[in-house]
Amino acid sequence: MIGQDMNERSFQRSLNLDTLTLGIYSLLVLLGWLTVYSVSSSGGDLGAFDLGTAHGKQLIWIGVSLVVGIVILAIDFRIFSTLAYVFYGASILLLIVTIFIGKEVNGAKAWLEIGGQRLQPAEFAKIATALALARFMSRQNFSMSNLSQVGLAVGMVLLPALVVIFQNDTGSALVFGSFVFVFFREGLSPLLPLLGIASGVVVLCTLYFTFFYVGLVLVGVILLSLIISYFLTSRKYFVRNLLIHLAFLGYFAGLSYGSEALFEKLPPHQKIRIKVLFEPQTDPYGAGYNVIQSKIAIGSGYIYGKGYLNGNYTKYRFVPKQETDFIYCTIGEEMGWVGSTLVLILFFLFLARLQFMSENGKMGFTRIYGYACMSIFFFHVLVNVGMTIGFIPVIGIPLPFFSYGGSAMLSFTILLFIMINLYAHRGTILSRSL
Amino acid sequence: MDTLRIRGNVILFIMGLCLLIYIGRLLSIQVLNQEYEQRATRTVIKTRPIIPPRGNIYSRHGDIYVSNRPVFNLHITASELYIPDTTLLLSLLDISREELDAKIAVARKKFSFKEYLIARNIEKETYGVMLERLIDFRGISFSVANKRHYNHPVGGNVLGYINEVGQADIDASNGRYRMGDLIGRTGIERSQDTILRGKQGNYKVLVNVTGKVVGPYANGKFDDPAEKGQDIMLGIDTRLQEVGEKLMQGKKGSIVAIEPKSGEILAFISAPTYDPTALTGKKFGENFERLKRDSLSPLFNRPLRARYPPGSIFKIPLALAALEENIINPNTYYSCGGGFKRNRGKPGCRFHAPQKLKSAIRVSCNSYFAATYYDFIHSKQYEDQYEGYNTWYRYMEEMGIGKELNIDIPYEIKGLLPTANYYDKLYRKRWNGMSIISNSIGQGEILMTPVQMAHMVSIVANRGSYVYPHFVRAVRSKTGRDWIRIPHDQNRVSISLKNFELVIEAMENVVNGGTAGRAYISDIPIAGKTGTVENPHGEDHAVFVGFAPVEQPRIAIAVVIENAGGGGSWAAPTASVLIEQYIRGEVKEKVWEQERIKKVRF
Repeated sequence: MIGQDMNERSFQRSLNLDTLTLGIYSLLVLLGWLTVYSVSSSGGDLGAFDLGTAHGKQLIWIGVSLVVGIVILAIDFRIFSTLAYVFYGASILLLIVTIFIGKEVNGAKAWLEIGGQRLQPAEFAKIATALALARFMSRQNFSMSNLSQVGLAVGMVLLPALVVIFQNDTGSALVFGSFVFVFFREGLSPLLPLLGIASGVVVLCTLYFTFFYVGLVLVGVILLSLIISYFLTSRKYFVRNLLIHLAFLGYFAGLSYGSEALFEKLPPHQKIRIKVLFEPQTDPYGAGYNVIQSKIAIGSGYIYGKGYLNGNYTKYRFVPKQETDFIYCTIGEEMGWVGSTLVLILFFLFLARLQFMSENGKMGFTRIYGYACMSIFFFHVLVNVGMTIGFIPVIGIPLPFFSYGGSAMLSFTILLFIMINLYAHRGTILSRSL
Repeated sequence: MDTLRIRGNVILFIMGLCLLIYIGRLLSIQVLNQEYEQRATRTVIKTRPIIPPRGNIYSRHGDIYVSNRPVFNLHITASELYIPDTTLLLSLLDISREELDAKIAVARKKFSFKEYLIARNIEKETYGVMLERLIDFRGISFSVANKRHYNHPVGGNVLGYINEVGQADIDASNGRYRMGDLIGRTGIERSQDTILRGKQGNYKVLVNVTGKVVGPYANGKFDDPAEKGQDIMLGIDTRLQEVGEKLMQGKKGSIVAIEPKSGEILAFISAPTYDPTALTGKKFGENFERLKRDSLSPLFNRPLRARYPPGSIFKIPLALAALEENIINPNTYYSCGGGFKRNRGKPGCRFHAPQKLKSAIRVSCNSYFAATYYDFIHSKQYEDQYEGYNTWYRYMEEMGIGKELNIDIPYEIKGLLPTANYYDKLYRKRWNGMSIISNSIGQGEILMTPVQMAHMVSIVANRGSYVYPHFVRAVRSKTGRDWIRIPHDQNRVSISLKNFELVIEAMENVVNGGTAGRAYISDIPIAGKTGTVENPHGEDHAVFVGFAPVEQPRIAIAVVIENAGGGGSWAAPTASVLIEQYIRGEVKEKVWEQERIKKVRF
């Protein structure tokens, strides 16, 4: 009994919310809402707190998110670890259910409609996956050198991604790819991510320059590498080196050839989305439209922007989906280079703080969850902003805390607040072990 | 464990690097590259034209001849369209249901949120009714435009017509014309277009992605106001023009009246003519097609573009030239004998006694002028027939024959005054005065337009000095207060005054009991000359040229009536009615002739 009391007391004492994170979070949410207001208020002269408008609805969602966030902070942090697999299982189930009873939006069956509000189960699956992965990888006997265990961990990430692909929501599925950072942090050989990046470069180059040229360059590079290794290493390894080089050549050539063949087989609308990345002018009123308009909107901001609420290019709706996927355009137009840069810096501070919390959370579970959390946020920022400035194909994923939409706001808040809760108890383990 | 912690920092570093690349990219598209900013401006800020009202056209006496009337264009905005009563709208617009449906379909498909023009040139009265009765309709808006209004619906071929510029005009104009501008297509409207049209202005608006106007840009700070077109004053006497057009009804032909002193054109009648009002407003297309297809071609500018052998009126310049070159003198006799004997009786003539020049003009003796012409070409004072011919040619050219008069409306033609070279080709260099003897009586290859005939007689009226004929008297200054007269050069032909006086005396006799006796008006001395133009296709054309009063002439006139036979019976009296109208300001004495002429059809 006494021990339990002790535990309770130490629990109380060590509850130490990270105010810096909360501060950055509040700032992002505030800026996000102001941007949504700027976009949505241009339609008429409705009051700022009119609940029928986008900014009004967003305000409700921010309120709901805050309440949920406070509840999460009040929950015993151990529950997240304890129920991780339950959450994971439930979210997978929900994803599968969505395939059958979900509502189709923009070709993806990724939404559940509950009482007039649309929720995207994939958003919550990300959280559940992060929790489950954290629990699995923070087990005492988990080792990155145990292939079957790593395989299982990777499988845990791939499973929801696959289901989401079945929902035809490629964008959300790609988010799970960001977990590679978690694996890397936990000891995965950097060769694998490097291989992944090299593969990505090869695929992109193939789509841009065609297989023929990529193949030529590959042969050249491999040949060069072989010659260098011949002179640098002992002769007796020559056969082994040759085999390794041939394997790489085979892999990349196959990848290049395969991606070209696959690209040709893609449905036209996806094909053109990739094409406009390289040349938006090929289809200025079709798939290239978003990219061109978005670049024009951002580009017209100049250094200081046109001023808050004065972004007439976004205000008059030249950029499609500008309150959701393309909200960054409004920042670019109204706040200029200074404003859009500051937002990116703010996101970087946010990521840096998450990394700091992960490393200093004193628990494997906190660390792994924290990196997952960081990776998810980073991926969203990277892809969302990247597509508005024409770096990345148009993939419909939201900008955290900025994009209009309740499902995203709520899930990002939950994702973050679980981390805040976990970090707040960094002292607990110590006091318990004492 | 430490190496793994470093990995955490590597991750953060990679993420930071990515965002840094983004910041660089933002710098490139936002700050370094201005193209995006310009494109945004072009897309959001739209410039709308302000079409100024066209300048008015005044008549000789300073009253408004042509002005503007507001008309209304109806636009629909498909996204807001609500039509409670289609039948009512159809009847007001005067279009079929299919036509309306087709237009609405286009609007819905392409311009759903924009104003789409579906009906032009709605009259003020209909507009008033529409405002009242379409009150429950939604998505309907009007814009104001101008159309020409004719206080005197005469002189269509002088004034010409206007319509909206097409893409070809804009491309060819080097930026002077913009979409929505009106452009003069013919006549005064075309030649004076730069003065009449003023300067298009514009205002800037902000539009949203659907093209809908959301408000003015910068409160109109960058708007460019339109400049109203300048007014012009013509020499046309609208009363005279009107009387002339009535006289010419049911006939084909031309009348051109000029004030000899100034060269101003007083009347310019092309018959058959058309009501210029027909080529304004919503019936433009329909009427234009009708006029174009009309077998009598009312759109054809006869005074400027029809060319006729001048006939006997050509004896006037010939006589003047021959006198000046001393080929003949007032006392030179030539015998007649019913034809030019030296050329086996050609051209033929009535039997006249041998006579002097004045008498020959009065009775229009062909033999006399054939002899004069032959003697001119082969005169001993010239080296050869070429010099003779060329000397004659220069006199004719001086009097405006065979050349463009640079009149201030377009599409003038120059007629035909053959050069010696022309005959060299025609006769393979084997020609002489006999080959071309028909020229002497205006029946050879020579072709004149009615304007040239009027100009020629105007030179005679003025005793040799002249101003080229023109329509525009004055242009109103940009302030709108003063009329600025257009200066014109005074010219003179190289024929002496006394020779003119002699020929004019003879021409007076033509009216006083000569071939143009029907043109006589008491108290208004008229000088003139009739002509009968041989027409191989039918009845001869009647021609009369004349001027009045003989001393200090105020009006010189040429009348051509196709298929009306001799110049004396119809052309001369027609001229006299107009002379009376112009000099007396009304027709009193010639009322009977006037009624007789109006009734006749050829």
